[in-house]
Amino acid sequence: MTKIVLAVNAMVSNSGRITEVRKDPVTYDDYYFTYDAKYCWEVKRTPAGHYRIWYFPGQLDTEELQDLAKWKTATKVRYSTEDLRTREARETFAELFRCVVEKFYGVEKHLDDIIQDGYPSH
Amino acid sequence: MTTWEIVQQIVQFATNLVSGTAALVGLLVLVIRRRQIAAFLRIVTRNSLSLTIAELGTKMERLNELSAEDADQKREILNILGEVAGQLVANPSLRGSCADVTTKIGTYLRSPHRLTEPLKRSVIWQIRETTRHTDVKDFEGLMRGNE
Repeated sequence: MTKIVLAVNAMVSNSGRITEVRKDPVTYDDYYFTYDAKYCWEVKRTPAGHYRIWYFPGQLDTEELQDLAKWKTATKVRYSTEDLRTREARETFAELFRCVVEKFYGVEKHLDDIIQDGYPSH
Repeated sequence: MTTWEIVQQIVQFATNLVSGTAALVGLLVLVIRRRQIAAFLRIVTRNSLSLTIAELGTKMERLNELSAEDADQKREILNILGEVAGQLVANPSLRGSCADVTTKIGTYLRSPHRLTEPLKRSVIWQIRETTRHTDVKDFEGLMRGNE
């Protein structure tokens, strides 16, 4: 049994541990991030609406993390909603993608500001 | 010994002989056809497992439609998960392989606040994957048994 859906749901549940989010400047909707500051991942939404996740089993050091070109050549394991065709797998991958995008654009902080303005404490 | 008693004994002997022969034939058939009989029993057991897995599949679809973020729907999710755990524990083919997921369901039933939407999806995925693997293994076993 592949545990990828369990692992991704664990990451979504602890989205605070998702850091170092970077967007691929060339590819469409393609983001790189680390979880727990040691597990390296890539998540992508294809133009057809499928989600793909790659895990980098070899850990990248701090210097390599800064260089996207190093990520591109590193060994990675691919998981895709085209292969895992269940609804829960698709929803899980989609939620991770949303989490990562929100982190990248700092949406959470913006939303917090909007919420605080809308619901003043005093 | 009267003639009547002699006739009675002969008839009794003949009856015993016939029933004894019939029992022997029955036993011989059991021995000769043991593979076919075993295969038949396996098919019956497999059919019951397939029915359980199909029913679990329907329940997983229902769970997918419900959201753990909504209080009312969460109650329904927990009810369905309780039924599913019961089915998994009651089925000898699934009990062992699904022990981990039934423990998780037990935790959510005791502390519903711990069940979130991502964890619900994890449980669905785990049940679906484990039952699929059990089904495949069971089918392989059936095929090997028929060789």
